[in-house]
Amino acid sequence: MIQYIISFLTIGALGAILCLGLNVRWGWSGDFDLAYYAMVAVGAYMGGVTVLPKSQLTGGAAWILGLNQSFLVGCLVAMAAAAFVSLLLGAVALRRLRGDYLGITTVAFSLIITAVFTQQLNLFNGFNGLYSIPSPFQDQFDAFSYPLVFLIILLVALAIVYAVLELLYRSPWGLGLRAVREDEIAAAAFGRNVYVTKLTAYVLGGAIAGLGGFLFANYLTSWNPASWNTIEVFILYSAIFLGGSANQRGVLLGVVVVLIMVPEGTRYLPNVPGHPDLFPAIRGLVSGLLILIVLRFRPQGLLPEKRPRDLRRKHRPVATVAVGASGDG
Amino acid sequence: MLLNLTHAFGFGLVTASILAIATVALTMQYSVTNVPNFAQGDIMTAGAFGAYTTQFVVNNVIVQAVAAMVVGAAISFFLNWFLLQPFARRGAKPLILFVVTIAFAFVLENTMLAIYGGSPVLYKLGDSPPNQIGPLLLTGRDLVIIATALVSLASVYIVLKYTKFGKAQRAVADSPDLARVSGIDAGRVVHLTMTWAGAMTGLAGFVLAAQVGAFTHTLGFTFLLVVLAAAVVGGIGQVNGAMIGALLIGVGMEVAALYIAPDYKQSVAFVALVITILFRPDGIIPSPSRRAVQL
Repeated sequence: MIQYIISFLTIGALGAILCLGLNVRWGWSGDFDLAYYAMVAVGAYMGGVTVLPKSQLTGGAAWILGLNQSFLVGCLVAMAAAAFVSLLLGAVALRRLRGDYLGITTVAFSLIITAVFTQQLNLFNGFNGLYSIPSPFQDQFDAFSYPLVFLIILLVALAIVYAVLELLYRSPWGLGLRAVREDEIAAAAFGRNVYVTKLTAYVLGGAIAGLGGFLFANYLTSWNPASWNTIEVFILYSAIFLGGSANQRGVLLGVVVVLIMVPEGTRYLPNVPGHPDLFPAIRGLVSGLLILIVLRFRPQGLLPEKRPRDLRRKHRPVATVAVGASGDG
Repeated sequence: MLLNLTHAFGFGLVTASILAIATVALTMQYSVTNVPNFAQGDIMTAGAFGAYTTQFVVNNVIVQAVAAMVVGAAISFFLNWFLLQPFARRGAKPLILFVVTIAFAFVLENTMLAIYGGSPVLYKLGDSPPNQIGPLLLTGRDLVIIATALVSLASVYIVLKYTKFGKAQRAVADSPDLARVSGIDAGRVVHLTMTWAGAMTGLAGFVLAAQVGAFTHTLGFTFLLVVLAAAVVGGIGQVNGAMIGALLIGVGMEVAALYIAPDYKQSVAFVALVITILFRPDGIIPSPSRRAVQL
């Protein structure tokens, strides 16, 4: 029973880190990004080759680097690498593209990256990918208690990510980012550099994607092109939409529902013999339906973002005052 | 080498024909609704599954093609009637409508995974050995695919150019408000266009399945990005542009496969898509009013 709880909490914590990173891009910056899993993959691969020893493979297949470094160095490299790829893509895509064109461009980029990772045998060992990625601190614990240790590592990482993002959200930069999201022209008129603000958010989201990817690879102990799928980002989106875009607590609630309750709920459905794909299909189906239902009936999500006027405002909003004054006159 | 090149050109023509049917449908739908239908790839897959399922009942290629069209039209109609229109009436932004089409695509794809499972299904049409036609080497099936594309594109061209409905459709694409003021029932035009584009998409799925022979629920998704590449390269909303875009992307992919690893050939289309969006977002044929059907 304990093992079972640990297993789904582990998935939830991983998903929460990934969703918080995507929330920076979609919730805070308003950019509909579909290349998120490319950054996750870059983080997983680069973190993986940082902690793995030098590749001993033959026949043209190999992985680059192989630095044999510690887990923490792996985390840093994963975040830096994913941030760098985000910077490259964002610098080009965010200059002019918004909305559907941004989505199309990023999904095309993600599919190109996937093709490169799958085909280049001497980059990350092509389709076979990385394996026997060492789990952090595993040598100090026995196999029975290790899942709990790994869960604690994930929860610590999640807490740090959550706290840092919460501080950034309340910072002047976070306020500026939301101003840009609401109205780019108005924000620019008040001296915000729209491009740089959006690009910073994109890179920040990418760094968290890289961290999440590396932790994911640690959890799986292997990483290859079958480990992720560009369109799976939609499961993360469904958690964010349901919980409440831009509100971090809402995102965590969405993760609990979409990544823990839905899969655990479908676990008890009767098994259909000879149909191993039924449960993944039902999960995908539920994620898609959730997005449609939420967007239709509660577009702001279960826990909506607090609007600025809700905070610390005691007097009447300016517009009301103005209307009242003209009514009196 | 030259022989290889002409053969690759022949393959490219077949790919371009499949692409052209889907691209014209996408560009027509995009220009009228102002939202790219991301579910189009999965509607193609649904059309393919429709044809596949029909073959157990009727062993007739024409009936299977019609079944694919009916499935595509029905799904596209459903998407517009029950999702896009209600959202649009509530004043949803185009980006949210785009998200709705992706969510619908996700639902559709997973429904097909639930019904047909994840292992590939075989869909084999009888084929003749390759014939030498001019410098090209084409099988009977290839010729049927090319002919299907020519007939469906000609029908689109004729309807858009010479019928009242085509005129209304172009007016709605230009400006739904102005069209409405002129007495055009814009909602009806959008419904009919979506349904028609759905039928063509189903047909495109049918010919794609016929060409590849075995497919899974993911058949259409990657192909959709190739379709988007062709539509964007040709210029969104341009029927002529869509045909040129399909030809360029289709032939370009097959010819490129001679020089680079064949698994990269779809990446050629994606790179073309990204470059076009970044440097010439209106496509190779810039239209006076973007996203309006031009002839």
